[in-house]
Parts: sequence; structure tokens; C-alpha cells
Amino acid sequence: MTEAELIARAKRGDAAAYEELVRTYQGIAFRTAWLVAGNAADAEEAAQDGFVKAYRALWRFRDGAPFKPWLLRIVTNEAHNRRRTAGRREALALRASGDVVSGDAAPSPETALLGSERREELLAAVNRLEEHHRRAIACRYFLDLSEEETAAVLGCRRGTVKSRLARALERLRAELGEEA
Amino acid sequence: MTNLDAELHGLAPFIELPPEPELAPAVRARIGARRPRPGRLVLALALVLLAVAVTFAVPPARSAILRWLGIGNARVEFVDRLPDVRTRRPLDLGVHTSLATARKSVRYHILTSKLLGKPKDVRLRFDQVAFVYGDHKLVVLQSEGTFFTKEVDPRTNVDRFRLNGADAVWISGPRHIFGYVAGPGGDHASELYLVGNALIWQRGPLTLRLEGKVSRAEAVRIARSFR
Repeated sequence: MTEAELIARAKRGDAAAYEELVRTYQGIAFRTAWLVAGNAADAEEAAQDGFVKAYRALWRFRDGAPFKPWLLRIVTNEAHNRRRTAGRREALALRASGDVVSGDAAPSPETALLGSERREELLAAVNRLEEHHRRAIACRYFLDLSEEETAAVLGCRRGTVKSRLARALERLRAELGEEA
Repeated sequence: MTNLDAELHGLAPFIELPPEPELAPAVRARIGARRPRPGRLVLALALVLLAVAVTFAVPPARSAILRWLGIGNARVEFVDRLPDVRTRRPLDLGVHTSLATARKSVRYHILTSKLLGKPKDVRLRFDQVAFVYGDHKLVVLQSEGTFFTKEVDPRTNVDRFRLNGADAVWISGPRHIFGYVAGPGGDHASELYLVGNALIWQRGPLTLRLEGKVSRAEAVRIARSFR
């Protein structure tokens, strides 16, 4: 069944169809919420509440529009609310083993390029960025969101995503003592 | 792709992420067998019927006839009994910001008022921009996608009229509650506030709201000045 069919069924009250949409997007919804809320417990609550609210708001979802950015916007709002309350953020960290996830295919050329010291240096520099720059970098590079999806998460225009990313990379280069 | 681009892409698989929870069963349990709200066609029809109801409603019977009234992103809900909100708290208007930053943060053109001049404070919450004038005595809010509700009981005066060619509502009276609906999502039942008089109006794709101790005539004058 296509995503459009699942949405159409969910709009008619088919909970099983909506459950399938939840399964499709729960990973990215949770990771996005984690990025914004700053911890796993708040992220799980935010993602779950976001899915429930998205279901209730589904009647006004425009047919044919991309579902993922719409959903991520709702989840992000939920995560924002929790972040304001908690007021904390966990820094991004490297996997303890230093390996990529087991079961992944052979590392990409970009992955193979990075030595462990460089990984640590790069991530430490990302963590030192201002929050809006760090978040833009994380959305585009670590969560692999499109510009439209990143705009939904950041709550800004696509053009702003481009300029914010450009500034974030500029700051990152400065942090790393590199030239453009 | 620059070297830094490539390195950041390459870094992604090494980032430690918390284990992903299984959300589907809990979400399904919470949504139950309830269907999402009515589709657009039904909603549009309901709005037409409500508009007729507003026109012909007799004041004492109004709460029995009207269930809710839609103005842009606002929804005025007529209830027999308001939720138990005893204290009057300041609205959570969001983070402090500047007009320049707000302009970069939202997708729409932010309207300003020459009549009121520069606001004392600019706040941002979701895509809602709030201008605060004179120590919170007057607040004007605008948004394109942030939905909100107003709950009113039968003693509240709710007058619907046309302003700048679009629908507007003037809410006045002793009992009136504001409740948020965040972004494009659902209700935030925990965020309820007792508030004073309010004017809600539309301008293009935006829904604007004015709250403060002003008369209806003053509110309308201020609303017209936002361009």
C-alpha cells in the first residue's frame, strides 16, 4: 500500500493504516525529537505525543503534500515544549566502539576517510557551535533530512536553511582552523 | 561537495544515538478507534451552517446552538462550563527575540503597525510572532500555521463582523479562556489562561489576535493599522 493510500485510510479512521505510518516514521521522528529535546526520555514522549496529535490533525493534512516534513514539524513542536521545561541538552557523542553500526554495508568513501582522531575533533567542533547552527548541521548531515524536512524541523524557510548551513559550515571551519 | 561536507556525511554512522523505542502500539492505543476530525468539505459546510447560526442566533440560546466558530487559525469554542482555571497568569508568548530575527525565522511577511510604533518586546513561539506594548498591557500576535482556541461560556460576548474584507471576532466579557494548539498539531490542554478582551482577525494568510484593556473601537483601529 502506498503512503498516500495509508494516509487516506487513516483519515477515514483506519487505525491499522496509521500504525503502519507510525512504524515507517518512528525512527526519524524519535531521532529528530532527541536532537531537539536533548535526551531520550523526553524525545520518546515528544515523538509519541507528536504521532497522536498528527493523527488528530490528519483531517487538515493536504492530500498529495509530503507527509514527513508535516509530521516532523509537529514532533519538533512537542520536543521544543519539553526542552523549554527541561532546559538541558546532551552533547552529540561518538559510538563507544568507534565502529559503524553492525550489519551496515561496506563503509562509504566518506566514512573510510575519517580517522578516529579526526572524528573526535570534528564532532567536538560541532558541539561547540551555537544551538541553531548545530541543529542545522545535525539535521542535514547526521539525520540525512532534505532541505524541506530540515526547514520543517527548524521552523524556517528553505532559503534560511541554506544560509544557516552555510554560516554553520563557515563557523565550523573557523573552529577547526581551516580555510574555505 | 567540499571536504568538510564529505567528512560530515562520513561522520554520521559514528554518532551515538539512543535506541529507538517502539512507538506504534502506544500510539494505536491512544488514538483508539476515533476517527480524525471531519474532512475539509464537511468542515466548510459546518462553517457555512455556523455562519448562518451566528446570524440568526438569539443571545440567550447562543451557547446551545453554537459549538465552535472558526476564524483563520483560531477556533472559538462555546462551552456550557469553562475548565477550572482560577488564576490569571501571563501568556507564554515564547522566546525573546528581535524583529529582524523573527523575520528570518518565519515563512510569512510579518505585519507591523505605524500607529503603535516599535513594540517593547518581540517574542517567538512556533511560527507565532508576538509584539508586546507597554508592560504587557497590549499584545498583538500573528501567525500563519499556529492554531489556537478560545473557550467562552454563555456570559461572554462574541461578536462576529467583517474587518478589511475578512472575518473578525470581538470577544469581551468576564469569562473567557485562551488555550494553545501548537503549530499544526493538536491541543495543549494544559495551557489554559483566563484573559481579557480580544480581537481576532485575518489578513491574507495570517491570523492575528489582539489582547489587552482596549475598547472594541480602539482594537479595530489598531487592527487596521497592521500592514
